[in-house]
Amino acid sequence: MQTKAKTYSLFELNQLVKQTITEQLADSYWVIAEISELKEHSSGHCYLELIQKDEDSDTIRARARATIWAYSYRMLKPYFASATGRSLSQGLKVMVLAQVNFHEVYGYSLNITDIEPTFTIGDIELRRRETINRLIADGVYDMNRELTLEMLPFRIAVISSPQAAGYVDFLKQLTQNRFGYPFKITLFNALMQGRDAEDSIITALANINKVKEQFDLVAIVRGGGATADLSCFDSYNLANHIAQFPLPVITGIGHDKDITVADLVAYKTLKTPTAVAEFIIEQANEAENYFIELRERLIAHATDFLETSKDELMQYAEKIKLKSLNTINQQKNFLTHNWAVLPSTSRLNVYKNSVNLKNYSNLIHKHLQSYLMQNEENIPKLSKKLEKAAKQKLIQAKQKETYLAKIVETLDPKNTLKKGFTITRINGKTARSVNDVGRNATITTQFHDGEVISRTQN
Amino acid sequence: MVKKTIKYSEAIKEVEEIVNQIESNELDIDELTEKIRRASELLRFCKEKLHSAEQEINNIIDELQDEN
Repeated sequence: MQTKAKTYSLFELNQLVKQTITEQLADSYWVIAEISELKEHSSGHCYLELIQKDEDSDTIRARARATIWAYSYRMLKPYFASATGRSLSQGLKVMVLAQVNFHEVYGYSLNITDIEPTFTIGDIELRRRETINRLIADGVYDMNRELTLEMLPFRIAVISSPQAAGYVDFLKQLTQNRFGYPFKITLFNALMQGRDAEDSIITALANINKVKEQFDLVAIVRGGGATADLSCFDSYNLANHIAQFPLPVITGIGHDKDITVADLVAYKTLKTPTAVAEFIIEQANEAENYFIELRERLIAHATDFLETSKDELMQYAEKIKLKSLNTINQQKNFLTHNWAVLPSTSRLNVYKNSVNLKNYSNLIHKHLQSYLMQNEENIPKLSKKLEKAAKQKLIQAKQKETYLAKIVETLDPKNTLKKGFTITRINGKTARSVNDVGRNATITTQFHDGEVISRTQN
Repeated sequence: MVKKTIKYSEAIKEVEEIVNQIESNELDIDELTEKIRRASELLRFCKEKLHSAEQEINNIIDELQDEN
């Protein structure tokens, strides 16, 4: 223990610290820190709390109060926002030029006089990439884009704030579309900026999911602005929800600088709510045009098909007519030709035949001769046979003649009359019945040796 | 007579065969007459079928265009 040590009042000690700081430290330092709290005072001053977290454990390793006095904050605030697309807010990592202050009553604090937005941009980009890589690693990054958008997306769930200018534009564009399409638009109210925006939008998505069958797509829209706070749209949580949402999500969150992670995972992203509305109208119009085109093609093809079939029939009919006439004419010609050729052909045939005939008769003559020669020796025998046969025939004929003569003799009426029969004639006619004999008739009765003439009485 | 159940394409195919036969001179006059009678029946059948299809299609097309 040092007994001789000087004793200080607290004020004296604080003064000593302040003096030492002033003497020992430079005017200002570039400091890198995360904003853990930020409050704008009505006076225009900005009060912050800066921290540094442990990279791995997230525990806080350093903390300091900081102030941006109104005359600096007036310039730094818009400068930072326009450079980074983010308003100076909680959660951002910043690089600031700080003077170290020590006040006897309020203690240690930093007075911020400048800010380097490039650092924040880099940090945001770095964290964005980390978020993207995580979504890819989780296998959800492309999920929403792989969905198929309904051809005619008429039923639209909108996540927005009813007061937001962007929402009003969106609604107007859709309801007053030039084609008169009947879009059915349902608003799911959500905070579109600030600390609670992320959770609010995720809740809205969850509500739509409960009735997802009633919708064709989800539009997340809000009006733009230079100082728009887009940090919630870079959050892993929201991007994860959008990516895995079962309906296509289209974003139009009104910024023209960089693309947020939510935009990257969405089915489609457009710069403004109006552009989203136009895209939806265009989709509907394309669907209608395609419908019209299909109908026209159908009609054209059907008509064409009919015409072709008709032509085909005509061709067949024509072909058959032509070909069959042809065949008939060929047949006719054939007949006519043969008709003409016939006479000469037949003359030729006659000649041919006469020649043949001559040959045949010669041949026959020859054969006959040889036949006769062969049979010459047989002739005497034959003539004897013939003579004998002839004699026989002669005897037979004579016998027949005698027999016939006898029959004739027997049948002669003279022979009958000799037997005692008579022939009675009346007036010269042979009488065959008593009735033939009238009165006063002259009757001639013939006997074999004479006639008797008698007369009947009156 | 051509059967009602025969298909258009079958009828056309038969006509085609007949035309080929006539073209290749495969037929004598008797057969030719027979075949031409058959072909004309088939063609009439096709024509009627085509005509009724045309009317039906035209009606449908008219309906489609009326929806405009």
